[in-house]
Amino acid sequence: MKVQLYKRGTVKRLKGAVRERVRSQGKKSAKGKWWKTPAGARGAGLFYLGFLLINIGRLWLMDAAKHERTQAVVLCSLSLVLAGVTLGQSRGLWGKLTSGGERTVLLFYPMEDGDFYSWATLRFVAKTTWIVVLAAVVYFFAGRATGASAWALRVSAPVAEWLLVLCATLALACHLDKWPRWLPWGMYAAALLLLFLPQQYASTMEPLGFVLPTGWLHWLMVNSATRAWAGWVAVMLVPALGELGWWLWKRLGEVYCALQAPVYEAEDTGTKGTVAEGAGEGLRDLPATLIAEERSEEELLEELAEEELGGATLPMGAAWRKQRLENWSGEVGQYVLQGDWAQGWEWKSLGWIEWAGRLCLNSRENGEAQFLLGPQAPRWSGRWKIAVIATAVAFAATLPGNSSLNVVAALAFAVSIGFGVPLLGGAWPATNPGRISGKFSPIFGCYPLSYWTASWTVYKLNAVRIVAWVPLGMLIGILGARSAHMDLGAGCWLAGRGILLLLALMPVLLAGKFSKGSNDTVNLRLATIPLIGVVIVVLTVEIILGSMAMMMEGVAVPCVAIAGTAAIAWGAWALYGVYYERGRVDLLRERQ
Amino acid sequence: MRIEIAGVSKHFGGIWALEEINLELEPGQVAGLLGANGAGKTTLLNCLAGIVAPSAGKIYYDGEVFHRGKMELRRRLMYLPDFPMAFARMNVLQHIAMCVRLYERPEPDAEVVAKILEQLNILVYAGMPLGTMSRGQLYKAALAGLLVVDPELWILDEPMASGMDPMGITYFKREAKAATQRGRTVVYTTQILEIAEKFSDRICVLDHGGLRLNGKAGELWGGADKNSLEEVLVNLRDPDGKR
Repeated sequence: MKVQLYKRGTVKRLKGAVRERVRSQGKKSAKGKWWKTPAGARGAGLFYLGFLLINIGRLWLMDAAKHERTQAVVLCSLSLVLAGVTLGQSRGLWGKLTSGGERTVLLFYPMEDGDFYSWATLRFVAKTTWIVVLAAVVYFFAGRATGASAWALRVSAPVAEWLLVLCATLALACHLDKWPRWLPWGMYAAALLLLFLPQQYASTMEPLGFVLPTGWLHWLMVNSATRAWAGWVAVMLVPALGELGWWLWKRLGEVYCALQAPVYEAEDTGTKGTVAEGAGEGLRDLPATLIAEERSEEELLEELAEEELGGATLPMGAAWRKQRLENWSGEVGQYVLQGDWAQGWEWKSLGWIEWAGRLCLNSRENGEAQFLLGPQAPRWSGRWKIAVIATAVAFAATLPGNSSLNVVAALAFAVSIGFGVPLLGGAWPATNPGRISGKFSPIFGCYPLSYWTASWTVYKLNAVRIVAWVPLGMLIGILGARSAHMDLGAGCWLAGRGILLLLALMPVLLAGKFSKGSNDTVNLRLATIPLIGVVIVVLTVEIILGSMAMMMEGVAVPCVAIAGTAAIAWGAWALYGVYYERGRVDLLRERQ
Repeated sequence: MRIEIAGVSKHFGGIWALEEINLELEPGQVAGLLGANGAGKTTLLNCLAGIVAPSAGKIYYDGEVFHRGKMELRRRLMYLPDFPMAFARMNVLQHIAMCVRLYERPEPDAEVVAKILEQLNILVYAGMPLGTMSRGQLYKAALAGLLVVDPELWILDEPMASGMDPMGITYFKREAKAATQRGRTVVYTTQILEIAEKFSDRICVLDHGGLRLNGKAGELWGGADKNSLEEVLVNLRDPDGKR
């Protein structure tokens, strides 16, 4: 069993030899960049960190150790999160084993499937140890018992919970079709909801959390009859779960190796190999008409070849000829010749917001917008409808005047804003990174896209979306004011200020869209220091002015603050545009 | 398009990828950039395309200073990196239509496009998402976009090692040669010396970020008492013949 792809000692020895060689040649030092290890995804654990902080804050505020109900809610919430983690991890594990980047790369090397399985799963297990930390922190704050049992619980329960998650992950990894993809996110959403729902609603959700495989240990911890010996149960669980995990790991390995093993059948029907299944699926996806016509074309091909070559048929020429016949007689050939594909999409047919957006664009901007939006036509009208539904839910939640439903209304407001408004400048796939010479560059980098016209196009389309959302924003303002027992006009004005502020800040957000594909904020060097200084000043001033716009009373001061925000945002946008277009930044990054 | 590279240098941190490159290319030429891995070929192409900006020096197209913001110049050139930039979920036709629109070319003649796709042997895959294609097919799709746009300057990174089949490479070479007859300039990198010798009108050899050789194909080694381009390149790195 190989669980290491290479020996660290060998690498160290080779590195030393190379250093020596480099030094002896009098070349540059081998420090720094040459040996830099690529950093992983920085934001990978942010969600769990966020959950942990929310949990701690919640426990702190509610003094969980003294409130039995709160302890139950928090532990139930943790059960839901860990169940979501289990589902997500099992999909992730199976993906790593079957179609992940490491699998793809190592397919090209002589490595046994079993060895790859061992290597990949052990790496996977090592990366899940954060669950122990998460559970330990929550148990430490939520624990109510004292004495030896309490410490047995605090030490062994996080490990037991981690092993539970691992066992469930291993058991579920090859049964991914049994649950929908969104289920883990549903679990996370339920967990967060549980933390903020009023007690009477949270109680109804608790059984759901405790019946989950990740929840019964928590049930032991909160149940008054079992609480005293829950710690000792956890202690005994650790070896038992370890053994179960080991068995499940071996079992999954057998299933995986059996599925990965190539099967070759030397039969008349042809060869089949499980390894190649799925690969190049699209390539085989020829129009049915071509396949149906193949036989007659072959006959025709023979005749034509005989005519042209006087009976001497060249294999390459014949193949070309056959392909040519297939191409032109097929549906694809006909479609290409029609020429409709060059027209792009028809905005009017997409929805009223898209149609309104198109009205604001000239011909060139239309082309740039279609490029920036990538292969898929926008669904802004559809998103607006979801925002309408969310606003209606918020309306319904605030109607009875029950303050305990304010959380639901707030969540609905958030959904409405998230779907209806391009909060961070919107999604523009052309700004996404693509690989280029081992680094990453935004897709627009290889095409003639002007910073000025492209960002102006995006600004106009975003403005249309924001304007379309204004009635919903006003309604939200009114509902918020009603819940907070404020003047309805003040609520409207608050919402209006928020909308105007977003429009004012949009240029900075658009500059950020271009900035994210460049190297201006990485590889700090002399030339970028002034830029970073300007960015810090701009952001500070914008935050101050934005806060003034939203918090100050009256009309004049907020209006001036919004105007100031807009002026600075446009100035920063123009400044960055000059910096960008002059090529002061590279459109190459080492990481995505 | 006349290209003038005047004292162009580029460094990434402490590493100089290019050091004072001076080069002039007349229109209607195929220029091959040769050199060892890490010699700076791709960086030079990136500079020519505006992806990266030179740390020092300037690039002139037809006497006009080039930088990323000059859209009228950028619409006159097209860059195909080693892995062409394209949307994985777009199909070949959508990609071509996108290129035509961004380069502000008139609506393409469907017959011509179909002919190009057929010649590249990807006509049947015209409706296939680019993300599902093999590397060679993807390069052909991007090349089809370039051929339809027909820019004045073609910048291609390793087209001969792009995964294209021999028919695709032959077609590309034929089209590139035809393009130079129309006054287009083709700048490409390769590691295949035999192709470079026969296909290029001009060969530029880079090494350690510097331009070491520059001249018409056949003249570079003929007068230097060397037998082949291969020997010239080996001699650059190892002038004493020692290893």
